[in-house]
This record gives sequence, structure tokens and C-alpha cells, in this order.
Amino acid sequence: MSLDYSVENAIEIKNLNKSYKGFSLKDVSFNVPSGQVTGFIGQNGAGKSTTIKSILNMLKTDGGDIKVFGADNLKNEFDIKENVGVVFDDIGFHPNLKVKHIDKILKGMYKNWDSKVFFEYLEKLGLPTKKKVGDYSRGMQMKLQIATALSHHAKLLIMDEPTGGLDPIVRNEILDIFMEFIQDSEHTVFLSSHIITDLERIADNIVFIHKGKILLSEDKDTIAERHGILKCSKEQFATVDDEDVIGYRKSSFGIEALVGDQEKCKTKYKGMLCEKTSLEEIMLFYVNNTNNGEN
Amino acid sequence: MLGLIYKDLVLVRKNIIMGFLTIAGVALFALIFILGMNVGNFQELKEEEFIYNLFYKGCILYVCGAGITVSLTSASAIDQDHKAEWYKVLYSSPINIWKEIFSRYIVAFLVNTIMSIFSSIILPIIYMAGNESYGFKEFKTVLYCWMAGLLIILIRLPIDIIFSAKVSVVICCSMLGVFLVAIMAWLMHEENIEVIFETIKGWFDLIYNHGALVVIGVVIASFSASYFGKRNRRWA
Repeated sequence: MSLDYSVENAIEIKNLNKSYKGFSLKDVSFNVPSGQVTGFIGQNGAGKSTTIKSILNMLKTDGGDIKVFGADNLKNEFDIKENVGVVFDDIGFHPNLKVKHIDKILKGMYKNWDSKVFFEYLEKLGLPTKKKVGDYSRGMQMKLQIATALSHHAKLLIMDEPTGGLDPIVRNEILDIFMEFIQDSEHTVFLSSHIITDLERIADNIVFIHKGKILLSEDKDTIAERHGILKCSKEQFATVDDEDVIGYRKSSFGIEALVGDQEKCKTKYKGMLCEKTSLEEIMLFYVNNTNNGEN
Repeated sequence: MLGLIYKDLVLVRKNIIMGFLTIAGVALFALIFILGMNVGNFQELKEEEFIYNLFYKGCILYVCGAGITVSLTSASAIDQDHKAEWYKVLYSSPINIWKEIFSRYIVAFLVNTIMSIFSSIILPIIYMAGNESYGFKEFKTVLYCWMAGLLIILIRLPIDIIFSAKVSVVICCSMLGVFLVAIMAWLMHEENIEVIFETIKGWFDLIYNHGALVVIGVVIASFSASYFGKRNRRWA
């Protein structure tokens, strides 16, 4: 089966399972819509890297279906990888290599490797070509990885914490590159991060994973519109239905509760204040609720 | 595939250069030593056959075995590439893992062959300086070393890839020990190939008779291997 770039979802994951000692992915299912940026958020150790490695067949999974451009990721592995650019949190190249070496190495690995595009990106990103990779700063190494991921005309970018540990200026530059990459709507970006402000800026969709389970997988704006913070006193909170509340915390003013349907709560609980909230707050409430539920 | 061979050649280029320089350096040392024996007070030293043989044959041994040494240090340089998270690049690219293994074989074979050719060019100079004839019998020393190098590479790489770093080092050190002892014995004696078999047999006898010693050796090798850390592996 050949790859179909016109499919609605560039990546489709159904019931993905993978168990390690002390950690497991449990029936992970979500889609990454084509032509959009999908952010994959979660705490460290939530299962983001395991999911990404499963998509790339870098791990043997315990079960589940993964389709990339409509094709099975195992049966069509090499075709898929020819069309996927990958960025990890660590640079994979030997520290003694220079960019001219990386160009020649990757030219022999990717059919569509474009040296011209590669050196254009290096220039654009201000990367020195004479230095060894090991002498690059972390920001430079990430930029180099991004340049390599973009230089074989990939249709899909999969990135695992590409902005982790970088200063805000470099992060901003990198996010701009991603934005530019998806401008023609033929390209798709799937990136994991625990820096939610980055995803708030560029992501169209959010997939939220916690302890190996998907808690949210939706359009970013819908998540923001749907969720709200209900502010009330302890007495008022006692009258709120449990099913409306995702999580809550006590503050000096009373109770702040995350609700899953802001509009409904505004109508239902008229004496209470229901406000919009940030993605970061939503994530915190979900995580705390899960942790409390387990305790 | 070409990309992988290129990568490995880039990584081992310094090992090759160092190999050339070391062989040339050892040959130069041998020449100075041997020629120095013919002048002044060193004449007396020449009579001390043991010292003379130690240096003279030691240099010959080093030049012959340099192919193996450089191949092994080159293999380590390629291993370092894997420690540098190279596997992430490899497994996220449209490259089959077997191509990576094959490219490592090709590069290790090339390094061993290049070094052996260089050794076979240098070796007659040492023999000539020592007023000894150089013929096919002497050339066979390089040939055996080249073959031993190939055998080590042939067995080492899959071991390196399949087994953990600790097991790999233990197996490879044992193999290297067998070959070095065999080659040394062969060089120091005149009985040629029979000595190699005798030495290998002796090695196995040693393992059989001194089990505890081998266990200690394995433990030491395992600990030294753990220094290099656990290799990142697919199918973790």
C-alpha cells in the first residue's frame, strides 16, 4: 500500500499498548490531522517519547495500530521514513562530524535529500559550517537537527521535545520555522513538549497524555472554549454536581474548580463566577485530579 | 548505504592516520635500534640475544599486528557513534539495520587491509636492516595477521551488535588474547602454524585448568565494560 498524502489524518493511532517495568501506555488512541500542528503534551515520563518511538518503529509495541499517511507504520516503514523528518531532544550525530559530513551521510540515506536546501537552512539558522557538531551549543544542535529534518522534503515532522532546554529567543526562532513549514498546508507537524506556552502559540490541536493514558485530544480552541474555572465558596461548591467538575483546588478565596463545559456551568451555577483559563491550568487540574484520584 | 560507509570512514580516519604514523614510528625505532647495534659499545649488547630479539621481533610483531590493533580501535570509534545517539538517526531514517552492519564490515575490512598492505611494505625494511632475508615465509606473518584481523572483525561485529557491551567485551577480549598469544608464539618460534594450534589448545587448557582465574578475568572485563555504559538498544 502506498502513502496517501490526501488523507484526513497524517497519523492515526488506535489502542496502542506498551509496557515497561513501572510504566505502561494503555490503549492510546488519537489522530494527528494533516496540514496542522498537533502538540503532544504531558509531564516528563507521561509516555510522549514512547508514543513517538512507537510511531517510528523504534520500539516493539505490545499491540495497537499505527497508520501514517493511511499506511501501516510497520509494513511501510521505509516509505514512511522517507517522508518523515524527525527531531529528538538529543542530537544523534557523532560530535566529531561537521555539517559537510552530515550532508554526505544523509545524501546516501535519503532518496530525496537536497543539499542545496540543507545549506540554505544552515545559513538561515546561522549555523557555522566549519565547526564540529560537538562544539555546537545546544540551541545550535537543535537547529541542526531541524535543518536535517527539513532537507529531504518531508511531508510530516515528528519532534520529541525540540525546544526543551533552550532559551526563549532560540525557542522562538525554532517555532517560527515550524510555522513556516506548515504554511502551504501540505505539511504536518507533530511535536511533543512540556512547555505549554510554545504549544499555545503554534498548535492547532492538543493531545494530552498522562501516565500512559490520553486525557484530551481535541482542537486547541475547543479545549480553551469548553473548559473554564469556576470560582466559588466552599458552601457553593458543595452544591456543584460532581460530574461537572474535572478537578478543584482550595484557595484563600474559596474553591477554584475546572469544569468541562463552561457555557453549561455559566447557566447552571448563576451565583458563581466561571472564567476562561489557560492550557497550562487545564493540564494542571487534569494531572492533579488524576493524582488525587489514585491517592 | 554509501552514506553509512562514508560516515564510518570519516569516524575512523584519525585511527587510520594514527595507524600509519605508529607503524612508521615503530619501523623507524627498529631501524635506529638495529643500526645502532652495529656501532660502538652496542656491539656487546647485540650479543645479548634475548634483548636483541625482544626489540627486533617486538617491532616486527607490532608492525604485523598493527592491522588488528587499528581495526579494533576503528571499531571502537564506530561504537562511539552509537553512544552518540546515532541509533536515533538510524532508526528514524529509511535505512535497514543490516545495511548499517554491512557498512561496518566493509569499513573494518578496508582498515585492516590498508594497514596490512602498509605493514607488508614496511616489514622488509626492518628485515633488511637486521641483515635477515625477507621472503614469502616472512610475508606470511602479515598475511596471518590480516586473516586474524578479518576473523576478529567477522566475529566481533555481530557480537557487538547482538550482545550487551559487557558480553561483547568479554568475548572480544578472549578472542584477542587467543590471537595475540598465537601470533606471538608463532613469531617467537620456528615451528610455524603448529604453534598457533598448540597455543590455542594451551589457552583452552588454561581455561579448563584454571577456571577460577578465568572467572576473575571475566569479572574484571565485565566491570571494565560497564564503564562504557549500557548501549542503547532497539526493542528495549
